[in-house]
Amino acid sequence: MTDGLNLGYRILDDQLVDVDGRRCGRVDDLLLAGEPGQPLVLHTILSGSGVWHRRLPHWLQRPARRLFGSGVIGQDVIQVPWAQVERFDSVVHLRAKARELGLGKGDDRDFTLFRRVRGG
Amino acid sequence: MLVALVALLVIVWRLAFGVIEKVFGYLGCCLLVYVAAAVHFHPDWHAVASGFVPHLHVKALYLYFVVGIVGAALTPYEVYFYSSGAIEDRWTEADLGLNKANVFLGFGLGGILSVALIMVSAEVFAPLSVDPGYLGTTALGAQQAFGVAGLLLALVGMLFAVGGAAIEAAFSGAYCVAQFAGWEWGKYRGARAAPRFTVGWLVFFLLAFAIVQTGVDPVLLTEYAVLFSVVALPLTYLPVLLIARDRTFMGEHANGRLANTCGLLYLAIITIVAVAAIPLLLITQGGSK
Repeated sequence: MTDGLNLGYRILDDQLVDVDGRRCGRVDDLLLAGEPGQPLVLHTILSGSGVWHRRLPHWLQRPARRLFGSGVIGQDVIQVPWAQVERFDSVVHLRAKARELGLGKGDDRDFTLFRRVRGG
Repeated sequence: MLVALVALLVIVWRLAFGVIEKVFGYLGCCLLVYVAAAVHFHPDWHAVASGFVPHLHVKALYLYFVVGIVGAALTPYEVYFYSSGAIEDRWTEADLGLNKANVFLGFGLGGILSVALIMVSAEVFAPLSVDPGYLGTTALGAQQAFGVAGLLLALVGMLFAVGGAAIEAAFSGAYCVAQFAGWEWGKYRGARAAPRFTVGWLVFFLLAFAIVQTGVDPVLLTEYAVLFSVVALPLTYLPVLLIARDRTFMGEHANGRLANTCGLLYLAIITIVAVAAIPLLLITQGGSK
């Protein structure tokens, strides 16, 4: 999208917002793809607690894996193709609905907690 | 205490974010009774003015209170609450002017109130050698000046200031957790659209209630909370400073040279304060020596 973009500064940790304006996750890690000798291309956003341990010091990774998950795709990590990104500013705007991408499952599930309650 | 908790939860549940801000903000202004009381006692203005001249004391206890006052002026949870509140209130560039005024008025008002409280304490409590160690004791200063009306204004002001701070702290905690974990958040979203955020602020209220129920001295607890939050303050302030000077984020509103210099100066001050906080806490045994 932009030359010289600092991914760690501008993209990593940003909130994901779906096409309806719903916050549905965070950019917890990024996958880059490329052939030997070719430039790397930003390929996929990883979102979910299963990748949190990767960014911790080595000695904290094992307890973090136990607490937050070990990175099972579709379970504690959701892959969002970079092609699904509409634009980014202070958050990352997606082209599709959260449910179509498998995001925001926790809020969907816990919605039932307040289904019969008014206000809040 | 349980009644207060339930009342606070009902208010927060039922009212919109903007209404909560206005109700607690405006009624908290009843604390201005202390400014009127400070003037009412006809203080020695020369002595008051001399209090504004900086004096350097190198005693550990004095430095401990310096750390506390600097830390209380800008605590990390306020940064999280205010910045998330900007999203709740749907601020735009059009609100920048109002917010700049808010900074000067808000900090100015807080400073004037602090000075007024010290002046009232000096006039009412110091001659009697009374230590206003309880929050409620300070209300007697307003009563001394204006009778029952003064007492009621001070108590109402305290109720809404403390209640407002409780809401800020609970919401700030929920904002942090929700934003870290990537959940939907925001009071304006409602409980059904942001269920885990809603559970978050409810849990923080209950946690605060449980802590109070242990019988811990709230003033002492606040002192310790301020001291430990001072340690985290540079880590909260630095990202804000970096974003504020970044034109790719802020465009024409990015900090200029003067604002950057002031920002860096403040960063240096709070870094020194952060480094000194824990050693001073230990040396003074929590401000008691």
